[in-house]
Amino acid sequence: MKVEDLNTKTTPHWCPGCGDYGILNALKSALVELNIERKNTVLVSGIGCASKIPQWINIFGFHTLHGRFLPVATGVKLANKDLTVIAAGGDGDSLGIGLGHFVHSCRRNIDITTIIFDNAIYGLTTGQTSPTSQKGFVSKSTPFGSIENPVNPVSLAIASGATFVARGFAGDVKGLSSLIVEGIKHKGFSVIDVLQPCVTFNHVNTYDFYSKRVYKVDATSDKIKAFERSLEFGERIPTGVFFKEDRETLIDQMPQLKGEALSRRVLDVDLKKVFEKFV
Amino acid sequence: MRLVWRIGGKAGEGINNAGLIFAKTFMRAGFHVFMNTELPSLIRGGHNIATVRVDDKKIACPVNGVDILVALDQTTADSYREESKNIVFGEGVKAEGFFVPLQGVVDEVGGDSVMRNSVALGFSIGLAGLDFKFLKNVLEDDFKSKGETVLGANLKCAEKGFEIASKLKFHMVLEPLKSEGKESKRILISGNHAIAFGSLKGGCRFFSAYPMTPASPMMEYLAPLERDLGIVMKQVEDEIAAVNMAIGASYAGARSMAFTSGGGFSLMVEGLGLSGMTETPVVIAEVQRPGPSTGLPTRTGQEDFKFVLSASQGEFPRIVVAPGDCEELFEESTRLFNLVEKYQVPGILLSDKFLSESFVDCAPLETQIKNERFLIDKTAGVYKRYSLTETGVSPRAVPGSDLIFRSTSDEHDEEGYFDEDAENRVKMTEKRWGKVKFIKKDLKKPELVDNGGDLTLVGTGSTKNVIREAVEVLKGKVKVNHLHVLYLSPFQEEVVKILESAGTVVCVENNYTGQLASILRENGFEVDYHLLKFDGRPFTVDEVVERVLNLR
Repeated sequence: MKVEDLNTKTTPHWCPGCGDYGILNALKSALVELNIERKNTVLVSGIGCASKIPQWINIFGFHTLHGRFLPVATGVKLANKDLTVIAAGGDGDSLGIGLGHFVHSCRRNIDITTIIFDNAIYGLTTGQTSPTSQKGFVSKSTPFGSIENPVNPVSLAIASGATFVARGFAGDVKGLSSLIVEGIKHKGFSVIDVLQPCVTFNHVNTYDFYSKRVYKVDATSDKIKAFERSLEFGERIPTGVFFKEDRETLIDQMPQLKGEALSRRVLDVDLKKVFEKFV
Repeated sequence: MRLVWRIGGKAGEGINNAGLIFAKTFMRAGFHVFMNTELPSLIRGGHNIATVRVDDKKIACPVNGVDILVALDQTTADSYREESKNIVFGEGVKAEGFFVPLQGVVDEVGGDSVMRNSVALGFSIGLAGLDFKFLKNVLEDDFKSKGETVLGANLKCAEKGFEIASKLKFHMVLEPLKSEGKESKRILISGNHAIAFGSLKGGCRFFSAYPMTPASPMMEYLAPLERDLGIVMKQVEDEIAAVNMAIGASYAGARSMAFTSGGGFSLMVEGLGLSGMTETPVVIAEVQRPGPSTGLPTRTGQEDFKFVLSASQGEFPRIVVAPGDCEELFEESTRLFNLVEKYQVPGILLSDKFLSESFVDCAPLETQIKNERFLIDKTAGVYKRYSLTETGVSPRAVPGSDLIFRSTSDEHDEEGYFDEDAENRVKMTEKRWGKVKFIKKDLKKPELVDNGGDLTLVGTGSTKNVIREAVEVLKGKVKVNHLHVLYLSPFQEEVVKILESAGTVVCVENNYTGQLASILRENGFEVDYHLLKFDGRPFTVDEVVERVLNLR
């Protein structure tokens, strides 16, 4: 498979220079590197600039509701465990309206890779503060600066039980692509927070801002060490794999899903035995 | 009416279980039984009752009056003294009737005080004139899993209770019940069981829910079957996740259902629209309870008809079915799963606390409906997931096939790409709505129970059997017909046709505003009278009879 095979008949309508292009390119090259079967790969997204991505990558795609892509993706995976399921959403999608689902997906350790297109702003609605905007961030909805502390997606994912937690940068497509490859290969819930400049509405977290700050950390399975590292976000911003551990996935613990995928099973069941208990 | 038995006490005293044992005992003896419960939304304490009707004809609704009242506490004795012919009570309760040393027997046997129920059961069976072996048999099955000691103590308690009744010189006002002797193969189930089983029958393999009374018992009925039947019963973080997970499972090709009550359904509304827009089939079971907000969590009502019909922003077709008893819940659940897959629309199965938590005896549930899959994995040329067709139904593939496509909750073209073009919008809207006339062809036709009267009672959902029995009771005095409206959406024109030639029409429903009447009005029919009840309790036969007679 070549990258071109993943193109669809339409092209993205993100703003020129948007970090989302970097993520799309990284995802495509990761899928090529993994030599995935397109027919067995599903991309589930929420709503927002980032979540439009299934339109522009030629695998199965489901563009769902704002914040609800993780439950949808979980349903897809439970119904057909043989599929590779990738979830995508912005910081609002993943950590604002969808934060509850994010935490529960982490603790479930369902074998899905979720990519957070983290631009620290609501872009599609033309520039409001987001859950990952830094304190003091001036936006249309916070003219006097955001007065709430941001969510740290990496710390939250580690604390909540995700078994692969990484941070990438949309300006480093190659590095991001290898994080996505690793995330998809990992058996369990993989979280990849991607620093993604919004060139139109976020004039603080620019390519330049991140380029000057990012540095790479090495993976550890020491949760406390990983958590400590994840707390750094300021003059220096760590990227790479923070945490990785092997833990039983949700489906590993569901013996009823052994064998044929739920979606392929025959519809008819015999209830005779079930009724016997009610006689 | 043959026998009405009621047991009442504090929550946590095993009232529900005692009711089930009584009902099962008579079912096994060859009778028809019906049990409903009333309980407050309390964890412990409060006041619970379970009422069992025993009859030689099939029954599925409550009546006024009690033949034997077992009062485990003073509240029970005081609350139902007026309507009870015989009161059975133990130590610490002041009443007139049969004093039975319930606690005394338990102490003698050396059991737990909850076993007062077994003494009362034994006594009641004796008083009603049933052979003890039927109760013994049920107790053995019921307490088998709790070990020899618990079973033995319960049996002794029941035996003593039965003995006390046998020694009475009293002849009950009731005609003595004699078992017909035939060992019954019938099953004792609730409406929630019927929904769960009907869904399984209809091929549902994925269930997701967040606990909410009165729908949550379905979790408890389905979860133990996970491994034997190869299904998933997933408890999730909220109802939003429940419906969206079900939609995800369906997108991938598994038949799926989310179940809840009105409050949870409120949270599912956006997901309902996702199903509508992306034409991803899903079933939601909505077991109503009185609202608004938390309302009366453990009581009954039919207040959500109009809510489920119009829930979600935007417009899309949906199937809404409101069955009236266990047999119908089972069959319509099966039908709904096939219809939503065939037509790629969301389906809502309506029930309510009364219907879902009442128990009746049924023949092991069966249906003639055949499961059929409506999926493709090959096509000539470019695959268009949302192609415009004569029926509005486009060929549907699922992941794993070579027919790769994208779905979006935005308006889209035939291939699932964003498309805001005005002409496309019109075509897609018409395509989705075009399915309705074909769905209607696959629905069961409404049928009038025609008793040749010039008065017709119309209802939907759980009022079916109370109306049916009231109509029977009324026969001697006035001829009354009955129309049970099974589908609220798509609305069947035949309903209006039938009502137009049905004389005076009275709409019977469990709400304040007359929602069914309003739906009928929207479809061109104005009812003559409303017979409404909105106190959180189900109609009784006597109540319907009396209110109908007072109309005239």
